[in-house]
Amino acid sequence: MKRDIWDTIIGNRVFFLSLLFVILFILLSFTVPGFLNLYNLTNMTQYGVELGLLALAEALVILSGGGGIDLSVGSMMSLVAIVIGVLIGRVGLSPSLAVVIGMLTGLAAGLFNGLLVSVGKILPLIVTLAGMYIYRSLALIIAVDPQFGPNPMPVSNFSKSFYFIGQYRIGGIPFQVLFIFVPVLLILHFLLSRTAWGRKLYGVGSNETAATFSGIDVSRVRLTVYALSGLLSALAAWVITSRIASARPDIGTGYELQAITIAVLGGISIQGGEGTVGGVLLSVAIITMLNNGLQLAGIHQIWQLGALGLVLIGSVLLNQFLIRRRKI
Amino acid sequence: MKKYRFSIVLALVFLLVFALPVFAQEKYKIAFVPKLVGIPYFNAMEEGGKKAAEDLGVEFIYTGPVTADVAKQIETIDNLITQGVDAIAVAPNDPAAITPVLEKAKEKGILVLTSDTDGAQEVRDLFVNQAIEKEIGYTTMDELAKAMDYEGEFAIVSCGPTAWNLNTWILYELERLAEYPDMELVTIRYAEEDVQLAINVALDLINAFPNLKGIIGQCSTSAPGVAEAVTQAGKIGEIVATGVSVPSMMRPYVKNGAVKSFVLWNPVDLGYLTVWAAKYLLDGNQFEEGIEYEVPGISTKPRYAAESKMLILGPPMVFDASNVDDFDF
Repeated sequence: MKRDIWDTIIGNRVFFLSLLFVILFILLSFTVPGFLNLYNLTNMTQYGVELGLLALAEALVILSGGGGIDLSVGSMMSLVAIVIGVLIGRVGLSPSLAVVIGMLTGLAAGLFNGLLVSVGKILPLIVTLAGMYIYRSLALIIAVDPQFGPNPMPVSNFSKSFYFIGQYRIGGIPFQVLFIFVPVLLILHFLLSRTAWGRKLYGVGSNETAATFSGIDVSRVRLTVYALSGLLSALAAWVITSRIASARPDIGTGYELQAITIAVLGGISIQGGEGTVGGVLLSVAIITMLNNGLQLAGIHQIWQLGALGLVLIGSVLLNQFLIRRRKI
Repeated sequence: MKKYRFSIVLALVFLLVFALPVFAQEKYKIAFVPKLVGIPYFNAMEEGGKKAAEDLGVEFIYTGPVTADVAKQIETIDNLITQGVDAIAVAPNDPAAITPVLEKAKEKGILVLTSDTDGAQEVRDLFVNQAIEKEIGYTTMDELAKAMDYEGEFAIVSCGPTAWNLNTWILYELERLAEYPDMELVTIRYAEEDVQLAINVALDLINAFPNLKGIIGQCSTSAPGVAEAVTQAGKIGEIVATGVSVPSMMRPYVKNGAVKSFVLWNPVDLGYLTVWAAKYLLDGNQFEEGIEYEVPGISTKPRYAAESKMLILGPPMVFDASNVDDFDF
């Protein structure tokens, strides 16, 4: 009986992550001065938004199975950031129109990945690895400012109105958390848990053959998740460009691996078909809080990446342990 | 079990009650955020900052991103604001992107400085400048011209394409170039703050421009990078490297002949001056135009330029075989 309860506790990913979150929260509250106060707790949430959006993109793609992974999210983010920046700062388009074009750019980049994966039948790892380089390069090319010779330059002459999304607060809570991240979370949660499309996605991810025989268009489902991944990367690009007031063609570099890490930590099975949005949210929250706590404690930043790695390997070890136990 | 829980809570309460007054002690907290941590140049600035903190009785916090990452640098500053420091000095990776977070710091009553590299000019209270940009640019060009015998093609390998200080030095190098009509700039390339990347970029340049006679490495990582490339390509004697970098990284190339001379200031002094200036302003003092300040602990007499709110460490230094061994940064 006791064993059963223990099994449910660590067998349920979301519960396990919640527990980890609470333990860390209490630990940091007592040991790190300046951590436990409303200002810091609301302020730090802004640093999880971009990574959170990319992790959700990653979660969708990995869920769809078939070796699904998207290594190009960081590069798509860079590409969209500089598209928005150049359109506003150098072409002189209105911010809203530029952002719409930016979103379409992300969608198109994601669709291109999706077509190569689902119609071209190329391995996602190969497609998105190529995408990572192509989109990164494209971002640098677009960023070239003739004034500075053949060199890419960031764009930072935005009007104040553009900063709304990334720099304003409502009741102390960053705007992008309330009006971008939370709605995206809710929509994705609804899509995955309450709709036919969600059931299809899990079906395709856990057993492609069975899904095909039950009449699900596997290619179409996969095409959709890669396109959504592009769109979520575009959203992340919009948020970060507004937040740091500068559109940089290199802003997404390094985010792809962190996003995959967060998704896997959140319980998205790398084989596909298993995992929830809630798990990803908790894992973003844990990493964001841990980074904040470590920085406030004045711990050298080289430890932050190490902490992310340690938390990941710990969670994977636990996963394997659980799978082995289930088999027994 | 219950007994233990009570004593833990009790211990924590005691800890808080007794720990708080320690934190509240009136000792200025002055933070410096470099472009990135872990390169010799900023290590030297850290050393100077630490020394100043000891001499002046302030607390010195040195923290920054592991790579020259714009977003991480902003996050670092935001967390320093949360920690409630008294002054933040920063060498910004992106002079525009740093503005919102420095504005926020200022709103919270924190003294805001830039050091080494300027940025957020409308917001910051002071820029601690290593040397006037014009003098650095002119000196670098003069040293290159001398080494190239005043003629031939040369290239520049800079670092971050958007670094305000590097771009300004380049501007003055080009201005000075007018004095040397037989020299020609063939290209400017960028290699981030990464020695390996600078080596690759410079090797490409050496292949692309067969008549190349000189290369300027514009920052502390690209100068040794281009010197290493000249060495690797077997072009010592044909191509001369120079630039702005630290003696510890340039020493081997001065010895092997790839570099005849290079330019810098004393980064230990710059770190010292940054903390000293922050303390000076926190104490309620004001800098005044044209005065040469006596700063115990450094070898130069900094002066203040009121128009640009800039404290200048002193003239740039030229390093060559005769003095490169005298410095340990």
